[in-house]
Amino acid sequence: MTAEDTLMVLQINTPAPDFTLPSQLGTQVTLSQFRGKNVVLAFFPLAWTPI
Amino acid sequence: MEQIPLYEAEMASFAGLDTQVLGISVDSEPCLKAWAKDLGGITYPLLSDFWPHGAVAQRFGVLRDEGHSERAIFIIDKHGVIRYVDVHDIDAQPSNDELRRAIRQIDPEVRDRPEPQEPEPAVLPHGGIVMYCTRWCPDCKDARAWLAEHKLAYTEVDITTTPGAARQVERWANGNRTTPTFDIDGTIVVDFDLPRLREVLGL
Repeated sequence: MTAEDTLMVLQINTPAPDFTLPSQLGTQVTLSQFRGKNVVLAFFPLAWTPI
Repeated sequence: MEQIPLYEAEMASFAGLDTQVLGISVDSEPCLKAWAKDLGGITYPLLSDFWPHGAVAQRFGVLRDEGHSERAIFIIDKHGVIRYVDVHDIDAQPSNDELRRAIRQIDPEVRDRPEPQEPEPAVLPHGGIVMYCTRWCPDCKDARAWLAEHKLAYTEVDITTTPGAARQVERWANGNRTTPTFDIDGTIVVDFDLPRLREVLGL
């Protein structure tokens, strides 16, 4: 990875970029559908690994 | 308990703070589906950031060179604004208590809500071999096989579904929810510690 490829981690007080992804429940989930709720968005490295 | 099943176990405490939990990884949808099933069922969404690979992780700035994401938590408020960022040690489990504290600070509407009441602890079994376990922990599976192999009768207590059982294990295991943990006629063996189990059982 070169320096210009290195993305900054998004900072506090910036709007979260919206996205739509499939889920294990078989549904498409869009972040903005949870407007009006707090969202804990928990990135984890990989399934089937400890922690 | 591990990070993903622990959110499931404590879902009510997040819902009580108007909070939705979303897990996200670069795994494919079938992979997440199989894993969720193996964990005993996960009812909140685990999002598949598989294709374009890691695109959402990249937009949030947490995609690693190896092609998977950091272990990172963002709290997004009711207006869609990021209010908390924790790019965590990838090998350590983030604290749910810290997340709930952060949510209370961020959201004045939930700040003073009481903690959800824990259900009355169940009367836990005693006598013989009692194994505190979860459905999914690999060591619990190994322990069941070992007990069966030695034709040892035992009682199982699932710490995810038995009120008070997880707290009991925490008291025995220095604050950890170590599974399996055994109560053998009052002698406690934390973890699937074979030499210790053989000693206690006189094998």
